[in-house]
Amino acid sequence: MPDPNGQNGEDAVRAAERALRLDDEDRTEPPRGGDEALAAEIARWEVRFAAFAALAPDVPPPARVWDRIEAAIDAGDAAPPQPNRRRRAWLVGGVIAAAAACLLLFVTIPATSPRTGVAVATIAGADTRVLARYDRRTGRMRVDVQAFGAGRGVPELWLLAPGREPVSLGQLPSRGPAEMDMPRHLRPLIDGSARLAITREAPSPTPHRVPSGDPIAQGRIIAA
Amino acid sequence: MSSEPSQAVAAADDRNRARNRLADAIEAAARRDRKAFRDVYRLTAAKLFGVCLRICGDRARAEDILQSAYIKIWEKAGSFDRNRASPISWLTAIARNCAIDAHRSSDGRARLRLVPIDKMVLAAADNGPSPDDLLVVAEEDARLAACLAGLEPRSAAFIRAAYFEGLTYAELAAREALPLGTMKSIIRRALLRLRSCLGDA
Repeated sequence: MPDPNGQNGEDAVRAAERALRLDDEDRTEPPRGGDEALAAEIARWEVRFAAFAALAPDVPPPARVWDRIEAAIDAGDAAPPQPNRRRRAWLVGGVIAAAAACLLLFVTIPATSPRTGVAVATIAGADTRVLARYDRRTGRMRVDVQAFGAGRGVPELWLLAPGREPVSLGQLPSRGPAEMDMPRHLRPLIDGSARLAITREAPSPTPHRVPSGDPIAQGRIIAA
Repeated sequence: MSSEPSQAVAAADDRNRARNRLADAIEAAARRDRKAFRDVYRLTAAKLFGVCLRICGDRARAEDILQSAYIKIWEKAGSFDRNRASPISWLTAIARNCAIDAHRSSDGRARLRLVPIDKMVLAAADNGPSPDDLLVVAEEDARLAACLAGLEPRSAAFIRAAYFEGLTYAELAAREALPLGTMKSIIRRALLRLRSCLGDA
């Protein structure tokens, strides 16, 4: 029988603190240093605390949530795209690939990152909805423009990271899927503290340096 | 609670069947069975949406979180182990972590400071779990509820607030106007007691 106030007790409390996420950490990554025992204990506490769910009333979500989940899974599970065809999807009518844009957006970078998992975002506004799914293992991001209100201009995707100016990730088609290789220097920014946003911009062969106005849609990046 | 043993046994059988059906569906989803994944969603979305809504308090945000949670469930279905966790507990843990991640974004933090003291959580702690709550959770989960009910009400309220509002030690201390060290001591003592009450469960 372990002493509840001894080392075992301390470890259990540490695991429970992690499961409740009482410390000011920002993500759910497993403990560093390969402490599998701690990771397992955290998982046990997470499951134990899940009993609190009984205190939250059931609330049926609207049907659109499932539609969005299915669309995101479709985007993620799609067969590997034909690179050239898919990459052109980032360029909308009349916007011809310029060398600068290709350099920024479409340089193929080997996937060497040790981080795994995906990050997703629903970029939503009044008449705009774009789903994004970023795969850390491959460094590729797929987006699906599900809605973009009629009007002048095309959607341009921006990465909004804390303490940094908005970074354009390029222009999107007005509807449908598109895919990109995330530039290496931006990959560390794709986490739960960042957001993706859409502005309406004049068609341009290169990403804009600054947005011309406020975002018409934005969504938080949720690391999975 | 039923006073008829046969009814209680039947209810337990129903719970076991439901639990096994859900566990089967998650395992099938791990094999990329989309229909099974749809069943997982159909059986659990209302519960998980309730949890997301309870944590973030905003329907649009809760929808985003729910979407992310199920995408994560789809991605992680292969790691579900029915011998280690009840399926609904496993799913709930994922949804809650997604909700906390969203809450701890810079935007979420700004919102968090506006949230008043959660009287509902405190009231729930004061009253202990209701019989209905105990009925809907699995037996091993009911044990946690019983152990929580044995804690000092204030400690249990803090733990519930941490769970449902994603509050850190520092945020709990600030909200309750207690020194950080005091808050940590209160909660750590409570967690030790919880652990002792739960044993190796």
